[in-house]
Amino acid sequence: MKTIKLFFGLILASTVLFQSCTQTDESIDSIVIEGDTINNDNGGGDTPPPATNDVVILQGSITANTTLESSKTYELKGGVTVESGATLTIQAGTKIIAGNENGVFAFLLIAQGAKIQAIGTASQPIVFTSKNATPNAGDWGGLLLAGKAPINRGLTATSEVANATYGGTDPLDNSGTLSYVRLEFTGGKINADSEFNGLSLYGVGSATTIDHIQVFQGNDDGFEFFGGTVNTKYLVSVGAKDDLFDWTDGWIGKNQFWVGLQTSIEGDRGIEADNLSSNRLATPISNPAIANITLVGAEDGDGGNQAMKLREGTQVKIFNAIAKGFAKRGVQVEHDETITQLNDGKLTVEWSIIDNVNPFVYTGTAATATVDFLDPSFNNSTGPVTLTQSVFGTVPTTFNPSTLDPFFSNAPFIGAVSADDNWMAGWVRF
Amino acid sequence: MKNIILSIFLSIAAFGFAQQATIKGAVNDKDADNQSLPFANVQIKGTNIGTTTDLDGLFSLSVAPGTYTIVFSFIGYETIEIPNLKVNAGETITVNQSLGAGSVVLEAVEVKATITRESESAILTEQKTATIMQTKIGSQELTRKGVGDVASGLTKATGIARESGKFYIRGLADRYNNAYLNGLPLPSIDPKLKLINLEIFSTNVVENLGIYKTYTPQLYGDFAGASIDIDTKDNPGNGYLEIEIGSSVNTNAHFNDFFLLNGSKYDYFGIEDGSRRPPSLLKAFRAAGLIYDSRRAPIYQFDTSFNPSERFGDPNTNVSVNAGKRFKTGDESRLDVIVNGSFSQNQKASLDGLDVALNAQGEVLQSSFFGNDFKKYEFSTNATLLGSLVFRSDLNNKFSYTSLLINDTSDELREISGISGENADNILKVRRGTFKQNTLQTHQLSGQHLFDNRKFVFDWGGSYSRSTGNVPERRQLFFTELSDGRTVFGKSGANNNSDNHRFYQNLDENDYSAKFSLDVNLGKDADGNFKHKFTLGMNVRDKSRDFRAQQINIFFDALQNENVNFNNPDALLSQENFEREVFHVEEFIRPQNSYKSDLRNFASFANFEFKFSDRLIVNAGLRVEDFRQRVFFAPEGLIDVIEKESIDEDFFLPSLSVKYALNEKSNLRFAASKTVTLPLFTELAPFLDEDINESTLGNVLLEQSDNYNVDLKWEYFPDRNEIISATAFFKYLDSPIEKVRVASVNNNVSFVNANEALVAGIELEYRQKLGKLFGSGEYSALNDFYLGANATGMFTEVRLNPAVTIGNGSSIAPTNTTRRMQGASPFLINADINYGKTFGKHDLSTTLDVNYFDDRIYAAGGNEVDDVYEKGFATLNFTLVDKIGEHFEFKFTGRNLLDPSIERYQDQRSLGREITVSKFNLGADFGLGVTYKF
Repeated sequence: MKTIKLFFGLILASTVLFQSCTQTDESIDSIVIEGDTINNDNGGGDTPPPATNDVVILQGSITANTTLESSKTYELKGGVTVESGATLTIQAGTKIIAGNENGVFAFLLIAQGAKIQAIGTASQPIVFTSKNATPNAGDWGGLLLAGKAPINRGLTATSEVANATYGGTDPLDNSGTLSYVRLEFTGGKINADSEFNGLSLYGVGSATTIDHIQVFQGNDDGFEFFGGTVNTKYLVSVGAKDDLFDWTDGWIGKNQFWVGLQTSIEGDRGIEADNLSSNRLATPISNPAIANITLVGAEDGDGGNQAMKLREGTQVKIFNAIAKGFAKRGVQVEHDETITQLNDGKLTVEWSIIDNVNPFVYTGTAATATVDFLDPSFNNSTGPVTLTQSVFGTVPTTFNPSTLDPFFSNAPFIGAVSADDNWMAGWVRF
Repeated sequence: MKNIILSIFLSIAAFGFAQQATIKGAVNDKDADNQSLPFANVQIKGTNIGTTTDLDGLFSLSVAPGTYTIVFSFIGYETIEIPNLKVNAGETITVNQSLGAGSVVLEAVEVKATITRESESAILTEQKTATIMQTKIGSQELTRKGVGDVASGLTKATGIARESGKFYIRGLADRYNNAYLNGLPLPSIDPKLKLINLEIFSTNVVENLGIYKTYTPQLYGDFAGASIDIDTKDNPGNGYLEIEIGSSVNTNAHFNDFFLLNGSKYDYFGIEDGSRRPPSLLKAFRAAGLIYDSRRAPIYQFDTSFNPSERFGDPNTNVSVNAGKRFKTGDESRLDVIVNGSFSQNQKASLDGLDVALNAQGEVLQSSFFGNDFKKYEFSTNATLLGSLVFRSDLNNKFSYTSLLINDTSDELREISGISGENADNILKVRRGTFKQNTLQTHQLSGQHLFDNRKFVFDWGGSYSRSTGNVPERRQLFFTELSDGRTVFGKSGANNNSDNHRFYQNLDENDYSAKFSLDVNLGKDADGNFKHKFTLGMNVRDKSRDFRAQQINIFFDALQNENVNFNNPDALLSQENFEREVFHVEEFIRPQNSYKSDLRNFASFANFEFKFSDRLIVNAGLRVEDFRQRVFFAPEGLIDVIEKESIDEDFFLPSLSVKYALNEKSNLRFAASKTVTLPLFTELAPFLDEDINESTLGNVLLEQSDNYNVDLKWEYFPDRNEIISATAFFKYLDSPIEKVRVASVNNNVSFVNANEALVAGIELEYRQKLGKLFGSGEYSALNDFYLGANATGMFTEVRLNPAVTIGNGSSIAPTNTTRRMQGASPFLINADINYGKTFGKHDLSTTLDVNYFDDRIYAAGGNEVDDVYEKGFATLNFTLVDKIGEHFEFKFTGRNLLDPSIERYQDQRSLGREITVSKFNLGADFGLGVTYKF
C-alpha cells in the first residue's frame, strides 16, 4: 500500500515535470516571463493546483520601474529583489504566488533605495500566498523591506535571510507604501537559526507608510522590526508559529491597532521585544510606542506561551492593550538592563488589561524591579475581559492615545478592534 | 646582468670541455646492518681533494687522471685506505667501502652511544653548513627522543606548538603552514586545515624532517609560518623487519563509561559498512524533481538511531609493521623497498566541560544556551600504508615511487545541557553524534639525475592525490526540559526544524602537481667543491574540490508535546511510529549545501647561490606564480550556480638569503622575501557549517594576503649535538585573513581580509649537554643528560577596517579594530630533558618534555562582544625507551600528564572580566609498547 502511494507520487511528479518544460523568454531586466507554466508542487499536497491561465514569473533583479497588474497572477521564483532606484507598483487586487525551487525559497526584497507601492483596498487586497494546492506555513519566504534608517547592530548589517544590507543614517528614509496587503503561508527555513518572517522591516525609515497588513500562518514571526524608524497602523498577525510581533536592533516607531491571534498548533509569544541580544546596551535603543493592542494566545501543548516578553534592554511604551489566553504568563520584563529601563520609567505598560494569573513578571539576575505595573498609577488591570470571535471587543477608558502625538487616532478604549468598528472586514482572513 | 648570464654560459662550456676523471662510490655502516653512512669523510691522500658522503652515503670526487690513495674515515670509526687507484681521463671508477667501529680502541659503551647520536650531530652539521636557514630533524634524533610520529617530532623544533592536532609555528596558526612529501605538496586530510595531521607519519618512514621558516623559491609561494618537508626513507641498508604493538589507556575515556551513537559493525577498524547513509528515497525523490518527504512514502530506511549506547571501552591499541630491503640489481644499480603499515585506535573523553556563547553583558546569547553540563566522547582510528620503491640505475640516476594511503575515522558524541538563552525557564539539552571519515591516497613518481660529476642535477617529480572528507552521518536532537518537569523534543517554543536532523557530507578532492628543477653547479674551490649554484625550475599544481551536503530534518508532529526520556528517544522515534506517521522527516535543501572549487598554479623560479668567500654565501631568487582560485556556488536566493574567481593574479615573489660564517662554530644569517597566504576552500565556500553553539560561514570575497618577511639569525654550534641560536623575525602582512564574528542575528563566524598586520618576534634555541651547563668537566654523569629548550616571543598587531563585509554582505562590526592577530600566541616554549645511557644489554633513553603556549585569540568579537581567547596551557609528556639486545625494544609513554583544563574565555573589557565560555579536559594517556626487530 505504502509502495503504491510512493509510486503514484513519483509517476505524478514525473508527469508534472515533463509538462513543465516550457519555453523561457528572458527580458533585459532579468524579469523572466513564462506563459502557461504549470506549478511544480514541491511540498505538501498530492495534487498540483489547476494551472492558471496567465502566470507571470518574477525572478532575479528588478532594476526598472515595474507594475504588477491585477488582471494577472504573478509567481516569485527564488529571491526577487527590487534594486535601488526602482519602484515596484502592485495594483489593488493582484495575487502573487510563491513556493520554493529545490530549497531556494521565494521572497520579495525591497532593497535599500528601492520602493514598493502596494496599495490595495479592503475589498481588493493584494495577496501574497503559497502556490501549493494544500498550502502550509513555510511554503515560501516572505516580504522584506530594507531601508537606511539607523540600527544598533553596527552602522549597517545584513538580514539573517536574503542577505539584504540594512541600516544607515537616514531616519526619514522612504521604502514606499504597503496598504491592504495579506501575506499567507510565509516562513521558509534557511538554516537552524534563520527563517523568513511574514513581513520583515529592516532599518525601514519613517517616511514609509505601512497600514492594513495581515500575516496569516507564518512559520516564524508574523511581523518583525529590525531597527529603523518605521510607523505602522492596523496590523493583524494570525497563526504565527513563533511570535506574533517581534522587534530588535534598535527600532523606534509609532504604532496603533495591532491584532495578534495564536493557533493551538504552535506559537510562542504575542510580542517578543529586544534591544540587541549580543549587546543589550547598544544604541539607538529599541523604543517603540504602541497603542491599542489585542493579543490572544492559545495553548499549543508546551504551556510556555506568553503575551509579551520585553528583554535584552529594550524600552517601550504600551497603552490600551488587551492580552488573554496565554498559558504561561502575561508580561515579562527580563534581563537586568531591561529592568533598569523599567525602573527608569523608560519601559511602561499603561491602561491595559492583562488577563492572566501571572500578569506581570520581572526576572533579573542582579537588578530588582522597583516598579510594579499593577500599581494603580499605571491604570492596569487583570480583567477578566470577554472577546467575541476570538479578537473582537474593546473596553472604554479615559486615556486617548491621540493626545500622545498626531500619528495616533482617536481611540479612548482598551483593545484594537471592536465589533462595531471592524476595520478588518473584507481583507483579513482567519 | 647580461654579463653575468654570459659568464655563466661560458663557465658551463669551460667545465664541459675539461678532461677530468671521477671516483665515486658508497660508504656503508658495518655496525648498522650496512645501512648507508652519511657524512663520512672521503679524502685523496696527499691532496686537499675530499668530500663527505651525502645522506645516502654516496660520494663523488672529480680528479685529474692519475694514481691515488683514497682514505675513508668517520668519527669513532676505523679509518681505511685504498691504495693504487688508477683513473684515466674521462673515466669513472667506483669504490664502495664499509666502515665499522670494531677495530677502534674505544670503550664499547662509548662507541655505541656515539653511533646513536651521530646522525643527530650530522643533522646539526647540515644545519650549520646549509646555505639557507632551515631546521632539520633526523630520524635518529626523533627516535632518541622517543618520538613516535612526525607531529611530536616537530614540537621539538624552535617555535612550534601543537594543540589538538593543529600546529602553530612561530605562533602562527594552521593557515600559514604547509606540508610537502619529498618536495611535492601534500594536501591535508582534514578539509578544514591546510597542514596534514603529521601524527600519521611514523618516524620509521622518515629520513628527514625539514622545517623551512624562511622562504626559498623552490617552495610554493603560500608561505608565512613554515613549510614542512617530509623526506621518506629511501635507503633500508641490508634490510629490516620490525613489528610494534602498543596499548594505552586514557584516564577520562577508560576509567569512565564510554558512550557513542550506534553505527556499523566494523567501526573498530575504521570501516563504515554503509549503515550510515541517506535513505535511497532521497535520491528517488530528487530524480523525480521532488523534495523527500516521508509522509509521501513512510518507508523506514535507517539502520542507525538516536540512543546513546556504551561501546568499545577496551584499551587503545596500535600495531605497526616496518620493513625494508635493498636488492642489488647490478654493479651499481639497486632497488630499495620500504613499507610501513600501521593501524591505531584511540578513545578520548572530556567530561564536566562547558560550552556557551555570550553577549557583551557576559550573559548567554539568545540563540544559545548555558551549556554547563558538557560531555564529549571520541573514538578514532587511523590506518596508514606508506610504500616506497627507489631504483638507482647507477650512482647518478635515482627513480622513486612513493605511495601513501590513509584512512582516518572519528566517531564523536557530544551531550550538552544548560539553561536556554531564549527561555530561562527551560533547560535545553542536545545530543550530537558525528562520524567522520577522511581518506587520502597519494602517488608520487620522482627522479634525480646527476650529470657531469654533479655539475648538473636534474630533479623531477609528479604527484597525484585524491582525498575525501566525508561525514557518513551526523545525528542531532535537541530536547527541552520544561519547568513542569516534562522533557519534550526540540527547542520548545523556538521551533527550529533544522535543530533535529541527520546530516550527510561528501567531499572529494583531486590534486595534481609536478616539479622540475635543474641545478647548475659552477666554479670550484681549492678542495674541488663547487662554489656557486644556479637553479631553474617549474611547479604546476591543479586542485579541485567537489562538496555536497544533505540533510534530513525531523518533524515531531504528534510527538511534539510527548514526554521523552533524554537517554531513550528511540522509544518514540521508532520505526513503528515512523511507519504509522506519528512523526515524519523531510529533506532540507539549501543550494549552498553544494559547491565546487578549484585552484591552479603555474610557477617558475630561478635561484642563484653565490659563494663570495668561504664565509659569505648569498642566495637570490625569484618565483613567479600564475595563480587562479575559483568557487562555483548558488548565492542566497538565486537558483542558478555562479562562478566566482576569488583570486586570479600573478605573484612575483623575490627572496634573498645571506649566510656569513663568523667563525668555525657560528654563523650569521639574514633572509628577506615576499610570499602570499592563500585562503582555504573551506574559508571561501558559502556553506554554513553548523555546530551547536557556533556556525562557520565561508566568504567568497576572501583574497590572499601579501607577506613581507625578514629574518636575522645568529647560530652557534659549541660541540656535536649542541646548538645555541637566536633569531629575530619581522613580517608585514598586507590584508591578512582573520577569523571574525559576523554581525548577524546568529552566532556565525567567518573570515575576512583585515587591512594589515605586523608580526615581530624573537626565537631562542638551546640544546646542550647538561654537564656543560653546570661547568663540570669533559666527562661527568651529567653529560648523559641533554637539555633542549626553545622559546618564541612575539608581538602581533592587526588592523581592521570596520566597514569590511563578507560575501553575503554581512558587516562584522568588529569590537576591536586594532588587536593581536587571531591564532598568534605572544609566547611559547618547548623544553625537553633527555637521559641516555647503556647498561649492559639495556640501551636506555628517557625524555621528559613540556610545551607551553600563551593565550591567543580564538575568534575576534563583534557588536561590542569582546574577543574570545584560547587560554594557554602546558603539556607534559614522559617517554622511556629501553632497547634490550638486538631484537627487543620496550617503550613506556605518559602523555598529557598535567591534564590541564583547556579553556576559552571572552575577554570582556567593558565589564573588566574574563568569562569562561568553553572548558574541557582530555585526560592523561599511559601507554606501553613492544617492538620486535627481526
